[in-house]
This record gives sequence, structure tokens and C-alpha cells, in this order.
Amino acid sequence: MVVELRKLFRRPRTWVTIGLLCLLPAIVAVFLASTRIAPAPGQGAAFLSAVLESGSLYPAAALALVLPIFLPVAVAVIAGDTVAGESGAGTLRYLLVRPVGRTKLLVAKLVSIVAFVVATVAAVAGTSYVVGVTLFGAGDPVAVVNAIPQISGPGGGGSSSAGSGGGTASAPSAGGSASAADPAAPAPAAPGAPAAGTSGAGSGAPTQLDPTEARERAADSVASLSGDPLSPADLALRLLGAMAYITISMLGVGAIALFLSTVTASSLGATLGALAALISSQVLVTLDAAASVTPYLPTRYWLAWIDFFRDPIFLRDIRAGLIVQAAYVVVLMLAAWANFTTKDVAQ
Amino acid sequence: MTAILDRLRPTRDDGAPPPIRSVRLRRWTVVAVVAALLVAVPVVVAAWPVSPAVSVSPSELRDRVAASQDLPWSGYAEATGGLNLPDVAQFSDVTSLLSGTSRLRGWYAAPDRVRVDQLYPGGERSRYTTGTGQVVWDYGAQLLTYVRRDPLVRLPRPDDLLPPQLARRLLSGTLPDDPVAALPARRVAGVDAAGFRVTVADPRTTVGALDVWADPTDGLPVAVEVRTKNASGALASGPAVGTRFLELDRTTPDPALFVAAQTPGVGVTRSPTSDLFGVLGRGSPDAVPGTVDGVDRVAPQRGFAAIGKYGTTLSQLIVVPLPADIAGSLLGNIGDAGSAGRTITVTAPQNALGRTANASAGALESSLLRLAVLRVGNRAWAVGGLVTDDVLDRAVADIAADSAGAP
Repeated sequence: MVVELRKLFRRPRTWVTIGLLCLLPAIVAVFLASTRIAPAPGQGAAFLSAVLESGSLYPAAALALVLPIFLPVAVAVIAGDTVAGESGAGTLRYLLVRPVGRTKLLVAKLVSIVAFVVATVAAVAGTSYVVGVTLFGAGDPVAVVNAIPQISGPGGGGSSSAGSGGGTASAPSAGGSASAADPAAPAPAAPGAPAAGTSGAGSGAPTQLDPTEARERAADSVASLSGDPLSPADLALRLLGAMAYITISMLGVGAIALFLSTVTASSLGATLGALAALISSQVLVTLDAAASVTPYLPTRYWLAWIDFFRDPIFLRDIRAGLIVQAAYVVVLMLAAWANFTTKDVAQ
Repeated sequence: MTAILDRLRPTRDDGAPPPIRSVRLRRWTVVAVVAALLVAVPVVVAAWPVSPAVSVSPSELRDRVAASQDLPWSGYAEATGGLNLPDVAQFSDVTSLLSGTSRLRGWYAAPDRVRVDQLYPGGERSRYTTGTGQVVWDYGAQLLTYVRRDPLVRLPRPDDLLPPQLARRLLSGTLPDDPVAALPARRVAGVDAAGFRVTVADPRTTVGALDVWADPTDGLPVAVEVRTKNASGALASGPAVGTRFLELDRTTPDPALFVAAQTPGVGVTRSPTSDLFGVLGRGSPDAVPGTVDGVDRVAPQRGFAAIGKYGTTLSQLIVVPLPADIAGSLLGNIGDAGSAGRTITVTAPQNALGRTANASAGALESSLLRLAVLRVGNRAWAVGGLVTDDVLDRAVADIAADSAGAP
């Protein structure tokens, strides 16, 4: 087992893979920080629009960036290579000559895949935290100062018109994310609003506030998806939970690739097979007509890690995701075991 | 594990190991059995017989459901609308609500202590109902809005689709002598729920039947399905709108959940109303006619005098005045809506000077909800309801005729 782990982490390509995975969020962060153009709220990858407010949320955004494609590809490559790679390189025979059972070998391979996923997720989250806090700060004091007066004045927005169905377009004075990046620019008045309501004067003007106090409040200024403030410790715990869940989500892919790796001698074949399974699963998940099978698909609950950032944490999909992944790992590892332990490894 | 399994095999007389082929077969059998067991678990759970704790008559259950507004609960529900309404700019919230699946988390302690979160893949929108008004949180806009008051007559919104809310609201629009029949019990979110169907006799409405499943002990609705009927009164095979709990907790929720916390850095604003009708309905009470399609207007709510409500049952019509430019763009949208759009021919009456104004009208069609927009000269109205085409056409004609008398 130790041998397998050492083998995994001694290989340059492991590190190249992890490095590339860390690179993508860093590139995105550089572009975001230099242009300060966030994707429209509710569009683009999750959390990306909130990142400009506080860099401490960037690990979550980074995970959202790598999760749909890059992370599963990396896991499929590493897992698909485990057995088939040895077979292709001709080392499997010598490996099996050693006094180690084949079952044990499979378990060691699985553990090394888990170790790879843990290392990758931790590396992506770690580097993106550093990148995020460096580039965006741990909270934007300007945004905080803008928002602190809040709604202290009674009956502020009485005359502001057009509180329409959207409800949000008509906020002439919101010191929120829209105007936070550039506090000098007045938020555009809603169409149909003849004049910005009297509330503009009340909550738009920043009050005198000690900058250090603002900075301290800014440290707490990460909002959960439900709008409640998250303290740094709370945020860290939720991030850890999300990382753990993403790690487990990847085990299904790893198990598929590992099983295929015992079937074929070509690691490329195993990797592509696992990816084909994933893509089919992704296609079916979005198809309403396939609703009867979607709860059983390996990618169905992948996005449930976002539920860690709701308040209270929404556990339903997370629980379902863990069960589905466990079922895939059990069945596919058993299949890998049944196939590999009775296979004639002659070539 | 290998060792254990291999020990189970029958030893042969000669002590030689069995051929690899049979070992392989046995191990693959283990795989197949485990996979079959895992697949079978949800199937068996779903097929487990449902037996409601107490048996109540359908009409008694209906009364319990109608009186269930003080029961606390919290849970997660999914609502599916199959209306396939086209996306019309000003009503996109409503059309998307009724044409797709909404994921809703709700906490309910009392009618004035409610919180409903509509979940999106990367965000959510929450609505807190408190004794003094409502608070709306929009994650995408990073905005917390304090809403003073919404009119009683308003556009549908996500929290209306939670099973208890939808069941009570729709049942209040049925008549006491509408026939009630029992439906087979269902297990919904762990509750063995008894079901009943109210068949709506009123020929003016598109609603054919309401199917409600509720906890038989206290009447908390856990699933609702709305079925439409066609012109001859035959029920549609599938529900037009369906909602059910997938997770339900019957304890009183933590009071802290009903307080909208303010995070520094997010925008906060105030709005007198969060509903489009709340804005449109602020005009004069004369903006809408006193009678539409033979139904008298219900006395309007204070502050929203321009909203016209005709009838109190499911066939009620709602009429609100629209700004003429919005009506123009809506009519354009309806014209582009394809088969879901329909043009209504209206004739505008002559005014005092003997001139006839330009009049145009169009309707958005779905199996359940119908919405018409009417424009006469520089005045315009929106007319909507769960009503049939001929009711809508007569209502449009009545409003057009009435527009001559009003200034």
C-alpha cells in the first residue's frame, strides 16, 4: 500500500496533473481581478459572482470550476492507469509474482486513487484560497462601508416606484454587489421609475466609520446562499465539508475507471470508457424524460456540495449522493475483484 | 474476503482446487447479487404497502385540510408545472414557475411566521413572512428587500406551490357541494397519506379536479395535483400542476430560522410591494368595470383599489389596468408566442364624440391558466384566471364595452 502511494506521488505526471488543475482557477482569478467583471449573478459557475466581494469564498468557486470536467478527467486518467498501465508496461506480471494477494493489490490501488483525489482537492482549494485572498482580499471594505447604514431610517423607500415581480431591478439605492465594485457610479434607476426614491439619500451615503472596524466586519461579510452571514470558522467548516463531499463524489468515477482498468490492458481504453460513462450520465441527468433513472446516476448529486453553503445546510441531496457513490464503489470494486482475481495474467 | 468466500466452496475428494472457471463464476455471481440487492432496495421501499394510521371519510379529510393552517412543519418539496407557457418578459417569473420544476424548502410555524427558500443550482431566493411584512432575499442580486405589503390578489409565486399552501388556497375556491371522492393512499415523505379528489363542477373554470393527499391524523396536506378538464368536462390524464413533499418534519421549527439576517456587504432596500399587481393596482377604483361576464366585482382591498376581482371560486377573474406601453409589448410577445398565443377580436365602443379608438387584444393559452391583454386607445388591461376561452372572450368584450363610459 505504501509502495503504491509512493509510486503515485513519485511520478511527475501526478504533480503535473495537480498543477494543471490548480492553474485553471488561478487564471480565472487573474482575469477576474484585473477586469473586475464578474459573471452576471446567477449565471456562470457557482460563487464566481460573489468572489469579488470576498476572496475567502474563492476555493468554493475554484472547486465549481474544476468539478464538471477537469477533476473527473484527472481521476479517470489516474484510475484507468492503475492496473492497465502496469499491464501495458509489462510490469503487472512481476508485481503479481510478489507475495501480495491480488485483492490486497486492488485495495492498495483504490487507496492510492483516494489519496490522489484528496491531494488534488486540497491543492485546488489551498492554492485558490491563497490566490483569492491575495487578489480579492478577505472582504471588500468599500462594499461593507456602503452597506452598513442599511435601513436605519424609518420608512425609507415609501415612494420608490415599481417594486415589480422581479423586485430587484427597482432598487435605486442598493449598496450591494452591483455598485460595490464602483461605488462612485450610481445604480441605474429602474425603467419606469420617474425619480430615484427618497431612500437613495438615506442608505446611499456612507457614514463615518473607522476603516479597521470596517475591515473587521468585512472579515465576516461572506453571505451564505440563504443570506445569513458566515463567520470565517463556519465558512472553513463548510468548505471542508464540501471538499470531503467532492472527494467522495469522485470515487464513483475512480471505481468505474479502476474496474475497466482490470478488464483491458490499455489504460487509455479504461480512461475513455470511464469518461464515456460519465458523459452519458451527465446527458441523462439533464433529460427530463429520463427522470426515472436519474437518481441512480453517478453524476446526479455532484452539485449537492453547494448545499453546504445554504443555511441551514441542506442535507437531502448530500445524503443521497453519498449513498449513490457508495453503491457504485461497492459494486464496481466487487466486479473488479471478481474479474482481476480470477484473470489469467499471462501477457 | 477472498479467503472467506473460497473457504465456503465444497472441497473435492481429491483436495485439488476447483478450476478457475468455477471460482470466476462464483465471484461474478456475488457481484450480480450485490448489484441486484442495491437496485432492489429502493424498488421494495417504493412498493411497500401504504396504510394510513386512521381512516377518515374524504369529506372529513377535506375539512381537516381546510383547517390546517396552524399546523407547524418544515420540509422540502418539489413542484412541477406542465403548462408550457412561453416566456413573456413581464411575467417570466410566473411562466417559468408554472412551466418547470421548482425546488422549495419551507419552514412554517404559523401563518405569519413562514420562510420559503426557492433553490437554484448556484443560489436561492428566500421569502420570510413576518407579522410586520415580508423580507425577500435574492442571492444572485445579493439583495435583501423589506416588503411592506403585497395585495391579496397577486401573481403566483414559489411559496404558493408548497403542498399545504396550494391545497388550502385551491380548496377555498371550491364549492361545498362539489363532489368529494376517496383516492388510493400514498406514502409521501414518510407519511402514509390518505387522498381525496374534489371534482369541480363549475363549467366556467379550466380546473377539473383537485387531488389532495394529507396526513389523516391532522389533515396537513403533503401532496397536491391539479387536473384540467376539456370543453366536454372530461378530466385530463395527467396533472397540470403537481407538488409534493420529499422531506417533512412535523416539529415546530427553530424561531431563529424566521429571522432574515443581514450580512455586511449585501444590499438592503425597502419596497412597498414585491408584486407586479401591487404596483399596477394602486390606481383609481374606476379603472376596472363593476361587472365582468355577469359577475360582480368583489370589494377591493384597501390600498389596491384598481385590482378587480370577480368571483371567489376557482372561476374568478382578475382584471388589472396596465400602462399602455407595457400592454403593447405584451401583445407583441403574445403575437410571437406561436400556438400558445391567440388573437381576440374586439370592437371598441364609440366615445362621446362618436369616434372609435383602436382596440386590440390577445390571449396566452395554457391548459390551466389563461391570460388576456386588452388595449383600447391609450388604456389597457390584463385579464386572467383559471377560466375557459369563452369566459375570457366575454370578459374582454365587457371591459372593452365598459371603457367608453369611464373617463
